[in-house]
Amino acid sequence: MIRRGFLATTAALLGAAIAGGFGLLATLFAKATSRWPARHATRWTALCKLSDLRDDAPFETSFTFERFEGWYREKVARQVYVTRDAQGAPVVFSRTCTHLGCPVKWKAQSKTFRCACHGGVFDASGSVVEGPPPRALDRLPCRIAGELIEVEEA
Amino acid sequence: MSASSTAPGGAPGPGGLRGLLSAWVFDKQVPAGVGFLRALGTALGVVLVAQALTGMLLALCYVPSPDHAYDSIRYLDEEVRTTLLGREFAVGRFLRGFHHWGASAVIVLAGLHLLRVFATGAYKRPRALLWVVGVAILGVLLGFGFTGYLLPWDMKAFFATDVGVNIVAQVPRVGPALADLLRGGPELGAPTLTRMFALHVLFLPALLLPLAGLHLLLVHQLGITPPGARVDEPEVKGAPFFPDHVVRELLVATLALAAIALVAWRLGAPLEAPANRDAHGYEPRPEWYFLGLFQLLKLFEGQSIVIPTVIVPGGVATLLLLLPWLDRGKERSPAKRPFAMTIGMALLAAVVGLTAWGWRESQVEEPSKPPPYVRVGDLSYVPPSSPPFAPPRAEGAAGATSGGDAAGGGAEGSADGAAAVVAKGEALVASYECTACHLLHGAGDTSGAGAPELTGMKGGHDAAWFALFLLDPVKVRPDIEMPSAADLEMNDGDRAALAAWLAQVSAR
Ligand code: FES
Repeated sequence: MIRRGFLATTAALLGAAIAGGFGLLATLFAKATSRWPARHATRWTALCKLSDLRDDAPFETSFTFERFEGWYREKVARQVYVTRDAQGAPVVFSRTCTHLGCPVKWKAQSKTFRCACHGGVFDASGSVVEGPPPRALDRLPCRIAGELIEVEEA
Repeated sequence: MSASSTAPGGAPGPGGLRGLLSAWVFDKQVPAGVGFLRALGTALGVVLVAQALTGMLLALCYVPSPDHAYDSIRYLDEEVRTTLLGREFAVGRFLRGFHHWGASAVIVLAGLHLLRVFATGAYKRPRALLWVVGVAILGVLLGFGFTGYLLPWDMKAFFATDVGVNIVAQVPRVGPALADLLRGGPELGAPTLTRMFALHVLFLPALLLPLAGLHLLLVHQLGITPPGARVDEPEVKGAPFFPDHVVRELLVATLALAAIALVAWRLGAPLEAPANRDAHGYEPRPEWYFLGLFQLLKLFEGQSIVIPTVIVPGGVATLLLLLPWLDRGKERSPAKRPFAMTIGMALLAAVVGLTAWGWRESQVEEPSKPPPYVRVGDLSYVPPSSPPFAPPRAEGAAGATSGGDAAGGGAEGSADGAAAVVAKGEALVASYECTACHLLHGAGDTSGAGAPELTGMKGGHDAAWFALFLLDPVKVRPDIEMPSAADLEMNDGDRAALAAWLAQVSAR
């Protein structure tokens, strides 16, 4: 009976080791494939001229960059609004509404960004004025390079 | 796996899951004398499950199309990484390695299982159908090996599959049509890759599952063959199936899995340059378990090609399938079946012999073990007419005429010559201004390019690979930007030297 118990335990341990090994492998693989490779170092892309900036009048523009989605090289276009803040520093807003991702549009009369999907409204500084969006519009990292404003690929 | 028996006392056992478990596992007994040899089938089954699991995971990151197949495989090898116990673990590389070497293990285990069943006369009454189903499974397993081979879409995959399909095309009358059917066209191409993938992951599993299910069911119904017993002898019960025999089965299975894992961890899976159909002179070699047939094929030509393509494979398959009816004697013990054993041994010897012969010939073509930087001397001579993807191997004419160019005068092949090549390579980094984009030992300018540090590069590539890469980097790695050897006006000797150096300083 002791022998039988020992063998049964051994069988259970071996079975558990095999199953556990594959469980671990699958988990590690799932984790490792759930993000894109950071194959490109961060890059700065020219967006517009510094002289294009206007107070309280964000304008719509876009830039493209290439990235790797796993093994796939993809050219991605990003739509943004460019403006400047109270101190005169350039600000680049993502057009993607922070609620569920519809594109927002700048309305010159009300000086607000409006989202047509569920009525989200943001002011010129990107803060939520009304509607369901949970947070202010996302800002993309940008910098001044001579005469140009550059934005970081993201 | 188990022996036929009823619940103790002959009374019907409890119903439900417990009843089922009792009937299938706990109340079983195996015949007296059953040992580890009877555990091979289960080990094969477990490894097959492992192949299915690893294959399912790999399919998450694989594209069966020529424009991205190779990229997705390289992504798996190089970029699917994570940390395990604080150390970096290339889980994608490991997984692909496991699936690659697991395929070999499947063939080995299937072969051993078949030999065991043959030698112990287990195919005899009442297990004829069990044997036939097993032979069919073996056919499906070989199909898995063949269809899976093309998927990485590297040189070896492309040309070995090309040869494989061409063998089919040699079959008289129906061959050409059959080959077109396999390829999805007159030549190996995109449709072939998609087809092989579909066969590998959908059609063949759909065949294997019912066959394996039937095989298991029959084992369950008929039980393990009593060792040494005549067909008409009553079975003598031995140890219980659980845990005694289950432990044996799991031990063998665990051993097999551990061996595969070890090899996968050490070696990963091979990956050559991306497939390029213009690479004339590339000598494809099939996977080892097809080498025997490959070798046999070399021995015949013209009309007699029907011998290796149809008569021999067909004959062996028929012989195996009909074995239970060809050998109807009542004896199971090998000692009492001299005729069957002689034929079996002869067949085995023929298969092993042909495989070994094919293996030897394939080794002759490739220098066996020189360190990577010695091979480059041979590579340095690339005839002007050669296509951009001449095989990265050192042999034949190229080897003979290889030159002092790369070896820096004379002693190529010797350790001194090799060291000179490497030293020359390092010196060349400056003259070709590699550090305009790359870092060297952490110094240099990387602002524009995201080009990697020259030392410690990952991927485990050898000098031959680097030489090929430098010739036309974008062709080897479509995802990067880098000037070709022609752009840099780099001659072949310099290229070989740089490649030798790069291989030596890359990560191992
Ligand atoms: S997506 Fe913009 S408000 Fe819902």
